[in-house]
Amino acid sequence: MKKNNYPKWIDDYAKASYQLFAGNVLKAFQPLDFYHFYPLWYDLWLDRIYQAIKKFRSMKYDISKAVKNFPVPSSSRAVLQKFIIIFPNLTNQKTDQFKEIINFFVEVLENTNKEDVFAYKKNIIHDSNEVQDILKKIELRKATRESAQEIGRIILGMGSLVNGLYNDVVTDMGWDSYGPYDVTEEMKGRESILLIRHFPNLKPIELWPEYLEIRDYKFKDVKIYTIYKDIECRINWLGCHPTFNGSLVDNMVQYALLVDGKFINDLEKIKEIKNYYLKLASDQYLRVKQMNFEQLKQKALLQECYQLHTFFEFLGMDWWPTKEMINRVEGKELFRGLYPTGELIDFDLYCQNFGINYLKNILSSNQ
Amino acid sequence: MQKILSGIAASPGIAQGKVKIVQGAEDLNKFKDGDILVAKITDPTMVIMMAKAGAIVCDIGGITSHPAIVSREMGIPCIVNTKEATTKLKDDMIVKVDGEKGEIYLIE
Repeated sequence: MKKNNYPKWIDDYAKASYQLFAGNVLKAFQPLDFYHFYPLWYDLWLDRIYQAIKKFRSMKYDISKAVKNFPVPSSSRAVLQKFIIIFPNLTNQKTDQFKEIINFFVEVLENTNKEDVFAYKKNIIHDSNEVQDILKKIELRKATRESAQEIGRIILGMGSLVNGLYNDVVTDMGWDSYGPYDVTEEMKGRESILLIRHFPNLKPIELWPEYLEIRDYKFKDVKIYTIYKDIECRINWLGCHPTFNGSLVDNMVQYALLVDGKFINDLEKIKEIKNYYLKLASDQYLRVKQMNFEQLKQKALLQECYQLHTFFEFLGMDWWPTKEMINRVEGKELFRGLYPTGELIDFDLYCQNFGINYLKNILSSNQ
Repeated sequence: MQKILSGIAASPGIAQGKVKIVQGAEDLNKFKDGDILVAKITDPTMVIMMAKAGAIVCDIGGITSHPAIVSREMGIPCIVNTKEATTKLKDDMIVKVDGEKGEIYLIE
């Protein structure tokens, strides 16, 4: 059998991206069966992205401009993954366009992450000088069991709010983690890591125009810097679900909470912020649970397009869903049977049903 | 101590407490600090309870699902994909949750 000569990055991508589905079932993703929703309109979305990339290339911009105007790296990876999963099931397939889009996204990721481009284990976007600089500038506090728990609860609140504002497969737009960075030397020889959790947009006004109160949400951009001792961390493809080999509460050494550019040092203030976000998260998701099927589809359409809104705006292009996209989903039932929704997804099934084998085939140099 | 359930070990740690079967925000009044939150799957309407929970146990989900993610961040044990936690466990049962092994034991 002739061996196809596909780009090596696909193997790295497959191994890393599978971690989203390992031990999981598709029906756990809420509040919509997204993978049976996207094929209703994704060809139109890919067409627009292709036009944006074509314009970017025609302007002869350096790729760093794309890096700067793309969402956080986990979001870029999540978007790439959806393209690869959905494309094989589109009835209107423009393969050359698809290849161009995929290659562009991979190029952006290669210029964003310093190593481990697909974040199989790490999401490294800072070099060692930048890490040194960060450590000098942030106001680190000594962690206690109590403060470590409160930091964990703030992440619960903010992460859950993001889940409700963006949905289960766009969460990464509002929640990333950078690192783990080895800071053993800076911590005077004790095996230590720095992990930076980032909530870049806790008030996406454009996504909830029907809900004016979002304009009054207190904060927008939050970074949580945490240093842990004697613990290993893995990013597992997306920054919103790192795993650890020990307790974060017991092993947190220092932390810093940066809220819209200001460090919050008082533990009582941290608790206030925690309570605020727990309430917001609960209220927001109640809103989502009360939405009907038509509303959920339109919202998911808007959320999907929003992911690249900064890139489109940079190019002077409209990112909002078109009338044609809206019509494609309005009053329509979702597809069925394209993806396994109820069974655990092993790696072979992932490669077969979630675009990996297809991608290898079309990007093979034999094509 | 009898092992009553098992699932995927999603967040390490050991906790013991009263089971509370949770379906949504409406269960807030019955949930106390340290209770073991048991749900089919968690969602953000449950976060106020999750912040108080001693452990979280779910019928479905994997290590990248909502309960797993947030349990790890809070440093509390979590077991997912037990398939039948919400039917086998009852409110006010005392259980021990071992998030390292993915096992739940009945105490009372």
